[in-house]
Amino acid sequence: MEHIRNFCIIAHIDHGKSTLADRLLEHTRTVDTRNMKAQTLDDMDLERERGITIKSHAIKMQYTLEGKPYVLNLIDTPGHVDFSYEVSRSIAACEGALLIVDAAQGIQAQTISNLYLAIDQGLEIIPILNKMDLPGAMPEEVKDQIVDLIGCSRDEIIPASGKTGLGVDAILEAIVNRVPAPKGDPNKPLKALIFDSVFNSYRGIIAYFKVVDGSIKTHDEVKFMATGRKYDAEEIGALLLDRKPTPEVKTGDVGYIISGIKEAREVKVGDTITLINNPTPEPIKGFEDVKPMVFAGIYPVDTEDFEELRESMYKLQLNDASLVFEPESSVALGFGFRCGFLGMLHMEIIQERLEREFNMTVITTVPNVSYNAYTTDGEMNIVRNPTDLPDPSKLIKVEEPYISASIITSSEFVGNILSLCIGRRGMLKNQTYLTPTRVELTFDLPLAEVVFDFYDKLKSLSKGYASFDYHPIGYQESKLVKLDIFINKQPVDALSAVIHRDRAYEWGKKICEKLKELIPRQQFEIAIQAGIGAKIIARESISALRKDVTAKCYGGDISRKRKLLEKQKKGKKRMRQVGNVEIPQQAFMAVLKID
Amino acid sequence: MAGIYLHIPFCKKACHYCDFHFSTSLHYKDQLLEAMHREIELRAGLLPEVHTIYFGGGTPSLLTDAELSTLLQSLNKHFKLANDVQVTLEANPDDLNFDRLMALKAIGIQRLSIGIQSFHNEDLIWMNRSHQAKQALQCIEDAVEIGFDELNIDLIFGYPLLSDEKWTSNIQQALSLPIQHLSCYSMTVEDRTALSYQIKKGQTAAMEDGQAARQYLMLMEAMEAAGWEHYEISNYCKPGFQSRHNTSYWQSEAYLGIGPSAHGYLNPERYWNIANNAKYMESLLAGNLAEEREYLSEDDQYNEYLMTRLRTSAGITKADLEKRFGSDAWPLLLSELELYRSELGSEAVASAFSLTESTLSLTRAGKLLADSHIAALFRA
Repeated sequence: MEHIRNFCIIAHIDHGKSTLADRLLEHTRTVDTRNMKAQTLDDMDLERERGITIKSHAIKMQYTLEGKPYVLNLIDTPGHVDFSYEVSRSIAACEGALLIVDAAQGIQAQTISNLYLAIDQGLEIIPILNKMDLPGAMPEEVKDQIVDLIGCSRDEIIPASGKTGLGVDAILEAIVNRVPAPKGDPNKPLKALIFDSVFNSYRGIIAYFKVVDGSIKTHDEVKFMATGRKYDAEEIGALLLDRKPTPEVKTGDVGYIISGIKEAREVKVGDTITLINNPTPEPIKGFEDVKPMVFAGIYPVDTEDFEELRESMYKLQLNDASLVFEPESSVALGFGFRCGFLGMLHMEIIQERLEREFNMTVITTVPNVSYNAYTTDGEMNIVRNPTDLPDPSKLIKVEEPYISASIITSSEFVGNILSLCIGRRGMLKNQTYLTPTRVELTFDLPLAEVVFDFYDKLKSLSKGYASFDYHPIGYQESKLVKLDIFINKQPVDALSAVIHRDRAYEWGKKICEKLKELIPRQQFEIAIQAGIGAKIIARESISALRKDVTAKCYGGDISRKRKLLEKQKKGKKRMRQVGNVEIPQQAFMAVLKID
Repeated sequence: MAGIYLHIPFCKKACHYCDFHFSTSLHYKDQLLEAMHREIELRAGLLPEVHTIYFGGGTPSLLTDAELSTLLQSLNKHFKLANDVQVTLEANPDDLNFDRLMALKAIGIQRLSIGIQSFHNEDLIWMNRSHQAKQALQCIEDAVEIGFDELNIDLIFGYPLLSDEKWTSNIQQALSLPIQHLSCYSMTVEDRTALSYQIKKGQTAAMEDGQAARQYLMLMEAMEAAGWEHYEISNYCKPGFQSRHNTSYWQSEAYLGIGPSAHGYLNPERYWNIANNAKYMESLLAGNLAEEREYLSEDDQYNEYLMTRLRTSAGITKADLEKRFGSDAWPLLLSELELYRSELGSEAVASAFSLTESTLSLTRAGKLLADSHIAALFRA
């Protein structure tokens, strides 16, 4: 056990975590330089494209220092606020953390919250100043920030560059010398922490774990304590670049288990693996059932593809347990699913994976949060679809989820950010100067105000120099109303939204204007209205199409014109019918693009 | 009635609305004509008999009489021309003085299609046309005197400068002339034209579809009152004077296209030449066609049939439809119509289509929205 070092990397998006990790893998000859794609750890194409880690990963490196061989287990963590629970579990599996800070950009909110998680777990922090090769690097200033944050000495900070390879030796030495070896007890019953799982189409779900106490052997009868499920450990092994089966994974080490599990839902990150015939008395602390925060309807573009969509969602869920869905139906969109996501990025990822991996084109409705609606009959209803909000006459109160948000930015942007957050019904709770020019602002905000475009707005207001992190702080009562949209007097359920009463008028007006832009003129006039209950608060109209006829149709025009009309017909087929009005798909997502 | 279309890709200047393929540079005209002769050789004999020859463009009247004549001789050499073959030339009024008309008649041009567009000079300036209104009137008078049997003129409506009064006067002027055929087009803003740029820049008002619809209806009423046939969406004639060449397009007859950007149709294939003069010449002068081809599936053929036929006054007849597309084609068409009725409402469909036991055609109101109605009946 003395030769094992388990460590993770804490870094903000773009601070060069994956590139630096690649250098470590090369240096320890874990991966051959020739076989190396940029950013080996990011498996999914999506991850490589977006330059972020969506799922966590783990990899074992062999490293010799002063004649002694060491095993270094790098446990990679996701880098987005949507996945903070997964981060916390990865951190819990480690004894040390590399804190990577971009020498040009300095500390960001995401880094700080993850850093605190690591410090709380008692991890040894190795600060690294990355991207030293950049012309805009400000090493002295960023070193100050790091010293302020973790109270280390300036020489403990390792200057590095994933690009040039600067500092790689020093980092590897620091991992061996500064990160403590794991402290488990080999004689105690097996206690292993699941920190991640992946789906493999041939082997089913593969769970990654760290053995805290005891050890696990092939064909041990094991139990996952939170789910209560029991398995035969068909195959266990080490995580090199590929999986390598071994007869045993010992105390302190990291490995994987394959046990014929078919669904990701059975493997919960944070769960404890133990032996059936010699169980540990206590599971590892910190397990949580991850709850979705954001909900939206996902519908097939072609209504006949519903079954195929169900199949695809089901397959996605096999390797993404945080995705939840249940069938729902909409008058406007037909049959689809109400889906729960960890956050907006997660929602986008699911949408993109449906398109790329399953070739499904889908309509995603306006995302919303989950509301608690209290009715006169004394019941509390959980509302995850605006159309389910009870009638105002039966409603006593509605509560919505709030978050505590931490925003770190440069002092020059404080004014802009304050007005953004206050405009989003935020309450400033705290304002701390981390350095003379860097400020941390803490707000309580309704989650609903953050779920769409908040992050984009924040980025543009701060020219990209603001970082954002949040955690839920429970439900609070708000003056919320359901805003309905009517097209030629017919309600369009998929466009209904729950919204704060004071903002309903402005919102309704903007939706009507946007829809007017997006709905093509048809052979009759179209009225677009927004209303609360029976009261109409905004309206627009689209005049009837008067003339739609190609003037010329001669030799050269015929096939071109036919193709245009065919396209028109296909486009119409993909539109949704509300009454006799055809509504293009973009209209259902338009609300996302309203300022 | 198989035909050959020759595309002459040159113009004196560019009309602001035109997106046809042309160049205003004439200096490689000889080479281009040489390439067209090569193409005629390469396509020799592809039609069993040729009933109509059409010089379009561009501005074919920019070619000299000798150049036109040589092209006709080349066609005569490589194809079997019917005894009554009709030769049409598109021409601009400023190219048609008395002597020129005499010469054209002498080389065998029988029918002229004259791009007049408007009888108002301010409109012609706005369109960037190269002629003046009085030249239009003069060339028609001369053409009749010289003995051209058939004359067509083109007019445009639905543009901002054209008040309803001016439009009425244009129609009346046309009806007063000794012509047999009239093509009228609603001003269409095509991408990448000066007009579309001017509209984007706010220098010209956008076309207004209420005006276009109104002026189209005015035209239909006036032409009917004058005893003309409205035999295709944009075409009117005195009885018996339908354009032989264009009608062959709408009857799905075979045709060849010669010259850059020209299209040909030899069931079930369509080809089109590259719309680039330099590349066209390079390829043909090296002895190769510069074409792309597409195979028309049964559905493609059906959709084209539906589209071209519904644009004609005769519309679709049960017998012809079944002959071409099988005995269930008529009931299938009626069921598509039924579906459209359920979407749009039966009143709207009844006012757009005229349906009998064995024919389906568009009504006057239906013609205003012809594209929507036709697309609705397409096979997807």
